[in-house]
Amino acid sequence: MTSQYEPVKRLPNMQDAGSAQLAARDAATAKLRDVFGLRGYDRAETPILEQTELYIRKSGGALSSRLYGFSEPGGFEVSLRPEFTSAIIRHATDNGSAGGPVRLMYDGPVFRYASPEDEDGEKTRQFTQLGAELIGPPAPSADGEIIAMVLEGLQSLGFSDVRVVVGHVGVVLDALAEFNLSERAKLFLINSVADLKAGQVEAVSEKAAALGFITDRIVDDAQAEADRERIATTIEQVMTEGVGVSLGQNTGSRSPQDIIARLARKMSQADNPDDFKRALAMLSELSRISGTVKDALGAGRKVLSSAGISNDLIGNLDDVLSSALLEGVSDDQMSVDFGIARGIAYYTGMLFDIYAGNDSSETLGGGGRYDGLTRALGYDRDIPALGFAYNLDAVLASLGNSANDTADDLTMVSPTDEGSIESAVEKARTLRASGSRAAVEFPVTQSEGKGA
Amino acid sequence: MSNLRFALPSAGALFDGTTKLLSDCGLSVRRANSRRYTADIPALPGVDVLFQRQSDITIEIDGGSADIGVVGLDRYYESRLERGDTVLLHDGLGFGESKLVIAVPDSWLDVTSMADLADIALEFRAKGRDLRIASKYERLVKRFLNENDVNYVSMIHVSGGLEAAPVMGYADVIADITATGTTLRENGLRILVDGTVISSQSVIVGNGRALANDSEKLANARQILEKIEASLRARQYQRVTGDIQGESEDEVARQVMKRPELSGVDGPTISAVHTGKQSNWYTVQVLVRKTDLTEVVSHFRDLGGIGIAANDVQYVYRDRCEAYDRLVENLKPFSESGE
Repeated sequence: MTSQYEPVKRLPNMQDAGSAQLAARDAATAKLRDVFGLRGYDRAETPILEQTELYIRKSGGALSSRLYGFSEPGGFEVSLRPEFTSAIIRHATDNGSAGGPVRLMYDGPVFRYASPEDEDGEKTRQFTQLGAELIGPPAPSADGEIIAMVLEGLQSLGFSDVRVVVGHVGVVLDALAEFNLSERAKLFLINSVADLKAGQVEAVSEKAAALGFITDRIVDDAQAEADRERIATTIEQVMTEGVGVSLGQNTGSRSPQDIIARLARKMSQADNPDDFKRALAMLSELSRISGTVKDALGAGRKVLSSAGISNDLIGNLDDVLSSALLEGVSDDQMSVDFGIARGIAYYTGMLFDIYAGNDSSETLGGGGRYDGLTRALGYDRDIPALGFAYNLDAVLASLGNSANDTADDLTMVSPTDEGSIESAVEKARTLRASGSRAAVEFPVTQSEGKGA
Repeated sequence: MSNLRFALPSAGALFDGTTKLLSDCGLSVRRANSRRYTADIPALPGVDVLFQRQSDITIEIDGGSADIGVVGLDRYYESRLERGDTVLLHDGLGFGESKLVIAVPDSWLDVTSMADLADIALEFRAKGRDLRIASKYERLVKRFLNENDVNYVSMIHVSGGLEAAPVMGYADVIADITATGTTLRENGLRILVDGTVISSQSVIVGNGRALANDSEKLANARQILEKIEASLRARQYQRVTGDIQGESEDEVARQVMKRPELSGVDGPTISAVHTGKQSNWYTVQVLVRKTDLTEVVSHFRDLGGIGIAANDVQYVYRDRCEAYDRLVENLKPFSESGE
């Protein structure tokens, strides 16, 4: 007899884990907890389900578009956690960490959706993160501790050839600050770093033109002229006749005052197209710099100088890397890439990706500094903080299948051999009491039809 | 073994486009009357036609109650079960071109881009409410908004007349399908400069499992794909004929081939003109891209050609049907394992 139902399949890109895989994960987790424990890190756990708000406050579109979000029965908008950092920071802040540095580590499943058409559409949508956060100390010396820990942890698992590629959002932000641009323009440029690194300056310029940041050819455009006239007339009418006159029949749910007020604000912050273009050119060059610490820092300084910006801005990155050397990290375990763009927008300082060997196709994890996250999460002060997380599944996959099943062999006790079920159960019990793995070999009846 | 169930859109631009495409392919649909939801294709007795609402077609095919169907790419992405049984068989039938766009009231002079909209959503949030967006495409739109940092939004599901939502007050902005933008403009709405969620056109999708396990269905699907592909390709070509004088067939061929780019996709076909007397006229036929037509005619003229004529062709076949090859490739996961 076959079932009247189709077997229910796992969701796309979700996986089961078997005994060997779980044993390897448990062993690695235990090892890493020991290594980080020696450095003073304590464990913490946060809920898998959180209010969606926690993740969209500061994460940026690249992460919030990957949330598994839904309305829970109690009326909250919730999401499965896509990362730990926000919750860990809240945990530390709630538990009054004002005293001194707080060192926390965590591990567990995280969930990130990717559509089949996305670049990472083939990746597993649930994976295990293991990470740590160091809350309290400002840059740069604590940054060295985190970089060193990342490498130590992997070495303890048997990796001989691991490295971090380090970038610095702060350097990029500081450099952009020199160009007198609006927040909106800076955000656009920061979000374009990945495209600029890939050499797509033209595509970025086109988008910038569409958004009105670059206007050299549109100045004489009739449409732009008409728009300006309309705006000027509108403002004039608003000034003389009161609001609501010429915006037309329908301003929808916003009042004419709101619209005019924001328009005025936007116009007063309008960016000088030449400043924008210079910033874009500088960023385009900077984003493409990567290499050894010495070469990349040198090249970065050169780009900043030729853009007329103080090349001292690189100093913080230099200090971060030096503090890692102090922790025993060697020169060849670190390289610099100014074009590292992380999908999570809360980073403010150095940030890094972790790789094994020369393979740069898949990262084993990453981290960085996010000094503004506490305030974004609703607390009344910025607390310096930084951290990292491994993708533990990627780490174990990269390590290869060297983990042997640590469980002892299982003894099967046969009722036929023992004469009866009763004596088989008794014998198995005795074996277990002496610490051996033992189970009764019950007869198996096969029913017809194929299983799932 | 059973008939192939072919789902077609029952109304709108996609209905018109599909009807015309199939009739261009010699696969006209015969429907007893326009209220009937079933029909057939006399040229393909093994095919049953089912007229369905466009929004249902992907779901019907996913669920196995239809085998293949014509649907807008946007609808397919909106309704499919990801990595389910439905696969894309043809990715562009050349009609039903449209865009799913985000549009705001034209009077919002300060809002031109998605970044502005993200800003407005935060402004609304500060006033204690979400930005409400009306759309029939919740999945695609929600994700697009999130990707653009527009996070504090409520999706308002509306079944018809989206354009009125901002005026009526039950949504602040909308995401709707538009071909030219005219309807949006006439309703006082403006498309954001970077507000295109997806560019779409009509495509053919099919249930991979159903096709992989029924050779008759697969054979009928292949016939449909072959005809459509050859017919769509034929639109780009014309056949040019002309009479050219020369000492021999070979000589005329050499003259024509002096411009290889203008001597046809597969080279010229040359045959002698028989007038009953001694003649040195030859008829030359070439299949060329429509874009090359004028140049080909000039080339024939330069060779003294007369009686030059150009005709549309109905089908142009290649050595393989690309859509069918892709289909076979897509069916592998369904036939190799029983899972």
